[in-house]
Amino acid sequence: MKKAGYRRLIILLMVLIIGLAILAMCVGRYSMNPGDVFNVFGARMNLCTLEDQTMDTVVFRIRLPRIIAALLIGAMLSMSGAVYQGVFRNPLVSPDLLGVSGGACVGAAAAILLGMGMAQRQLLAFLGGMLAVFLSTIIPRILRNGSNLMLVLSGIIVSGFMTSLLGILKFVAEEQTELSAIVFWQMGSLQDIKPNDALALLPVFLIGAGVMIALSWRINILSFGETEAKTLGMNVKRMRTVTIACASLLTATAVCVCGTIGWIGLVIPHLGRLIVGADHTRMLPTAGLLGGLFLLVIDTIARAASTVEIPLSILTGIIGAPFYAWLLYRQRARVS
Amino acid sequence: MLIEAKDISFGYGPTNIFNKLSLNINVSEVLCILGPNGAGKTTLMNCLVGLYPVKTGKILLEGQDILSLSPRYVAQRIGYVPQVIVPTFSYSVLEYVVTGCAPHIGTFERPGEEEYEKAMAALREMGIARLSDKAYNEISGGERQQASIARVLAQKPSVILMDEPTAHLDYGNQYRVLDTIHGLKEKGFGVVLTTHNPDHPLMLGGRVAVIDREGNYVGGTAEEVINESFLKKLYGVDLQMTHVEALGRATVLPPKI
Repeated sequence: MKKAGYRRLIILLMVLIIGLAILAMCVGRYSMNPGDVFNVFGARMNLCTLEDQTMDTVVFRIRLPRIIAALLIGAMLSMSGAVYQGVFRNPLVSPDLLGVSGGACVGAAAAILLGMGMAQRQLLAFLGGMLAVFLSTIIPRILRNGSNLMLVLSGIIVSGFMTSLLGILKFVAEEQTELSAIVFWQMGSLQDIKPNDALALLPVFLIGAGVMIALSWRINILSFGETEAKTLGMNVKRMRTVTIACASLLTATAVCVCGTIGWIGLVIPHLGRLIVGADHTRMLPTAGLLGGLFLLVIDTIARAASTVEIPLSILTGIIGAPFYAWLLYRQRARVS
Repeated sequence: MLIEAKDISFGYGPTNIFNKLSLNINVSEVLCILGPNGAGKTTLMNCLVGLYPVKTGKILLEGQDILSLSPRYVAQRIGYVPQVIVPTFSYSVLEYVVTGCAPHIGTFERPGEEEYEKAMAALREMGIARLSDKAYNEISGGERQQASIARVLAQKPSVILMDEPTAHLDYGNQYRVLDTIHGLKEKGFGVVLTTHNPDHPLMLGGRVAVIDREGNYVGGTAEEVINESFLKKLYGVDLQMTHVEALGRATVLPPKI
């Protein structure tokens, strides 16, 4: 793809995102038309007056925060998935490779059992996720083997351990209330997003995604393997640590706000590669935009398709799994 | 003198793969590292490029201890062509070759017009400019080897180390790669390669460094070191050497079956 084509694609994706965001502000239990949405924004900028203040509340307190959160979280998950796949040189890897999701689930479940509120639940989920990453990265160091494979294996160990811990917590949970809260959280949802949550995501996203994009060309080199990266003058250990830390931070932040959402981090990078090629300098921003777009669509369906909220992982799986099969069909020559 | 190894030893465990080995790599010179399977040719190469810290002795790069230098500094001077690997992701040949510029630009920088032009120039030099937009993991083995050499040219080092550059190549491509190596030497690079074929040093006319499984080391010019009795000891096979008038050099042939 030529430079001009890439630029056009980025602009197209941005326009699509804005268009879909406006559409998403219209749909829901309280339905509006795009004109209403423009009025709401106009009123905020003192350009016109609003007859019905409900619209303002619906847009600014409920739908806009949720749309922003969906865009950011979709971008976070798919970008960190892309970085993990590049650094681990494995297209089957997803952002919870190092046990982030498992750790976050344990943290959140513990908070639910302790009867904590939403804020503490997010905090514990974040701590659980980062603890899992810490454990996954400390095992290879104890075993004095710094290879990628060892890191992947220790990720499997930590994930498995976290799954069992979660099992214990579910086992002792009270069935009617606590257990269903844990299960619902595990399947991911954006319905409890507050305007503050959406704002809190922004700085983390900017830092994590900013560093990853700044290093995206170096990720190309990392994906050739350790020997090649070293002989090209790279400090492999440091580069790997920084990129994995950023990707894990983004994943843990996303997971602690909305629970675990499967498939996005695995599928969207593949789609990005199919459209713009493997070069991470283009693939990362593309994957970010595509991921945001994808989760925005999924979340809008989740809240508007029926009278009850559909958990996100159900939808991402139902749409993502066949989509992944289609992507593999398209790339079949390159998968061995 | 570009690289000078003084009394170096290395081993993964308590036993050493090679002991007190000394060799030099000079401008406009080819050094072939010869040895049977498992003798440690690649290991020696990895030590020379500074990937593995030697147990004893010192490796000097332009007079400075290689282990005291930053990876970036070393990469600006030593280029490494590993055995052909196939990347997981399908980068284009140009995207692959441009990574050779990595040691010359900042960590947060990306290759710009200038670097892509350098990469294209390297591709033209190797005569494979037409492959620039092809996927690196879909071209043939010979073309991949050429692309790897193009990348090392884009890196602009003074020494080029190649790990078995002729492995997995058909006969024609083996010759082409050796011809390229000869060309690199003529351009003033110091070239080091590992090989399984004792004919290669005779063909390239440089020096040889031979290590055997016991860690013994012999070094010298190809003509000095390579003779029938030496080859028999090294490989355990009665190899024949004949002088070929048309080539103007000696050549190694396998015994009668």
